[in-house]
Amino acid sequence: MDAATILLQLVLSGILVGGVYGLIGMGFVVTYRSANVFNLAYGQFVMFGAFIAWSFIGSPQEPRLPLPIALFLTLIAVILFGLAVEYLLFRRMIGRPMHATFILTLGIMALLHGAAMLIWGPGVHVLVETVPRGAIHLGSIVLSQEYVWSFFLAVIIALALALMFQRTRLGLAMRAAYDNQVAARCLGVSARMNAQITWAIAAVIATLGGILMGTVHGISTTLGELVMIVLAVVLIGGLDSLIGCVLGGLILAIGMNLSSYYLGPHLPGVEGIFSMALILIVLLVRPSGLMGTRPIERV
Amino acid sequence: MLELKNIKAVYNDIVLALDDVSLTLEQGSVVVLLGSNGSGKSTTLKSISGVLRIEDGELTEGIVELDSHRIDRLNPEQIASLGIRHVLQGRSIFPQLTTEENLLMGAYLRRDRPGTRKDLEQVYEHFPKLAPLHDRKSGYLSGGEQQMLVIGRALMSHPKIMLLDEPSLGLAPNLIGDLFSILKQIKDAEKTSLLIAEQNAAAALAIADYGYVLQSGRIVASGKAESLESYAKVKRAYLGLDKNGAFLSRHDFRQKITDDDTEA
Amino acid sequence: MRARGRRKTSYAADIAVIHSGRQWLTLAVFIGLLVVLPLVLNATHNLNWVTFLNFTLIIIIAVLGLNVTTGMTGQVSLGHSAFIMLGGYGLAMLTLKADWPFWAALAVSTLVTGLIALIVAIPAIRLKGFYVAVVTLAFFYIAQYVIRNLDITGGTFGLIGIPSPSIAGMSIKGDVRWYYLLLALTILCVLVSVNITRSRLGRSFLAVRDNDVATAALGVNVPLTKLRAFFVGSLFAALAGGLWASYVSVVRLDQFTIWDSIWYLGMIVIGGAGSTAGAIMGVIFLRLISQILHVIGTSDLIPLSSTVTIYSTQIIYGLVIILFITLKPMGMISIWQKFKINYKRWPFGV
Repeated sequence: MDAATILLQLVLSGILVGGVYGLIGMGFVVTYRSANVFNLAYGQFVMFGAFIAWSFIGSPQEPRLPLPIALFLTLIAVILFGLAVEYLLFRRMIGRPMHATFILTLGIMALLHGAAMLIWGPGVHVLVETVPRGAIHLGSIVLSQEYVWSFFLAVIIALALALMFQRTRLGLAMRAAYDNQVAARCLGVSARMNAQITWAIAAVIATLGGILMGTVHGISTTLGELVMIVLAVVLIGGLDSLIGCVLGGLILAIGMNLSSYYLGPHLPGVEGIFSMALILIVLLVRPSGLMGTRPIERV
Repeated sequence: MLELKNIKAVYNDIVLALDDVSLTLEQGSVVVLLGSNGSGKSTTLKSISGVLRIEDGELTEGIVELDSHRIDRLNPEQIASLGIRHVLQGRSIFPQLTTEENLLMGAYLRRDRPGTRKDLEQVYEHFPKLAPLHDRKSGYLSGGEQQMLVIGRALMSHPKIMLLDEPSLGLAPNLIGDLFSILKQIKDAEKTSLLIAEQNAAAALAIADYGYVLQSGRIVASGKAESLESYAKVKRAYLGLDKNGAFLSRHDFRQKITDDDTEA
Repeated sequence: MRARGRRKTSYAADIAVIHSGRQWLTLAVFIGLLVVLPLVLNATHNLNWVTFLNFTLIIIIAVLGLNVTTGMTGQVSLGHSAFIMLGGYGLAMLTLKADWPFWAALAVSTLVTGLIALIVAIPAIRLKGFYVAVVTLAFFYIAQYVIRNLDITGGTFGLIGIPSPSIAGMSIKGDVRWYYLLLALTILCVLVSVNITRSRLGRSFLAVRDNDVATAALGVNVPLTKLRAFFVGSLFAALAGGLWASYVSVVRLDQFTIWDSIWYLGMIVIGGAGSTAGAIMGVIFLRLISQILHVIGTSDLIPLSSTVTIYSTQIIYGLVIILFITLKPMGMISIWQKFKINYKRWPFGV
């Protein structure tokens, strides 16, 4: 392969992975915007959701329920999970300093990680084939089919989410509450319902993202470490922007591919800390990220 | 009919903001609350709309009744669903939303689409300046336009009662007159009761039926608008009103007295 | 009837650590107990409890540092484990690769770690709240990456054979001798920590935590104060790291995990953020939990595999942090203080 083809290959596969990263990042952004929670346990949400899905769907050796039914049950289960998290924990944190809520998410992270380790163990669990596998050849570029599928599914889910926020009454109310919580409540937007919906949406997005990641890499407790990727994605994009997530996901995934290929031979495993370096650069240069909305202030 | 009976409001368990305040707002009437900065006007409105409680305040005594039902233990969103709209002080728009989205938020509790569309047209009729700006992010509107927007937003739900907190704040003098005449039109057309907190006494009393004067969290005078107007003139020095009838802050008030002395 | 309570007639008396003769006595008895404790454990063949005590003392030193950065100044740091790691690796490299004497190596590695902490803090101080946590988290992974990929740090294998210190010709070998060294150093660190809270520096830390803007208006240089907090905090961490490395005579990357950073934060929250006594209580509380689980797991009664013990500990730590944050945000120290007040007022207490 010539240099240009290699570059194209790296960028294309980066885009495919970046789309999924972007989708996963959206769940983080939703709770940050609406519930004012910087949720470091989010990676564990992704991992837990994926395992719940696996429990319903099953492995290739031991398939359990037909896919639609399994997915439906998974969604119900994780929505209940999201609601429980809101009801039991975050509802009590309203009006408390943000760093207290932050440390609370660290506690949740430990709890979920420990629980998953005891329930499912450290091994990799393979999911029933949900999408076709195999390679796609575009000239001399090779892409794996499951990456392409997960990318398109991620795009569809992300679009649905964006439509929900832009076009529905509920989405409008959630955006309004982010802009001005008190004014929104004075117009009848229920703060409590808003929080419940927020956590349910976050849990659902985390689960869908976890299933997509699991289709490609298998499901294991290391999915929880995705939170570092998510942090990079949302900080690059801007903490409160959904479009920023997509952008952040693409930049990060392409950058990781490129750094791994071109720098990897000299610095083994550099893609692992590429995201960390990117976080530091963004926070130094542009703390609000690429697309983060800064409050519009009039003089 | 909205009634406040001997309410006492406290912030953060220690700061007494209202003491023994009672007032009545009849259906379809306009009542003004007059007073200088910090006299408790905003707190009065907040204790009706429930905003007081989400700002670390609470009613320690007294009750608030809407048509003989107690509402002082409800959340702002529950009170909003009873047909009370609080237009918060300082043009509390949703800055990242467009003008039209802001107005649609006003109709959040309504489900009928055609009705909402019609009301949207009607708000644009009341405030023709907003119509060409419907796609603009409201954060970029001018101060006057934003004030029109929040009042229009409250109208979208056909409220029974509107609580307006200093609607004239920061508006150019010519706009203040426009604003109050629009408020009067709305009241006449919709039979909405208005409770207006204002520092600009003259402009507010012009459309009001009844008024209360607050000072340091207590009602120090009340009466029909006309009688209050003359009362205000008499008590100008005492209450610190300037020549236009606006209440002065304590600093300006001292200044005023010295100025008057030198004039005399 | 004797009048209850003590009147304090000066600020110095109010901020004094010890208020009365009786408190001196209690303290002396307490320290005396700590001194004889290993002898008792030794005599009853409970030597692994001495090991437990030693690790607890090391962690107390480290957490006292985090208590300065996070507890007093409000800068939530997830990089504390990294500072401990740097202190440990610094000591190991200086003693093994450069043949420095122990105490000189400990002092220099501690200071250098402090300087590195200053560099880490520079992006962090401009930002608020969780951004600081993210910066320190990123620093943790970058530091691990660097150590993993250098030759001088021994890569993934780490460094083995780190020498023990010696005092006046006596080499500190064996758990009991280490215990007395660590106990002395911990008491020293506690004294430093307590006196920070009483000093001008400590008051500026607390002021920054409680209100940035107002503090700046009062003429406190807020960024500089945050830098100081990171510096002082990392000194404690690096000291603990150096002692840890020498005590186990090994440094390896897997000794210093991001989970440890989280547990240290948890210990501060559980104890009561900002209070020296609280931080110590928090450490002891979480350490006891893990030790009890360990004892249960290795007993014949309910044998647990080591992975089950590890992850049960993780679950319980998580639960304890969650419960304290949601139900007792002021930590154990608030429970203790309430108890003390009620005890003094008894039978008139609430």
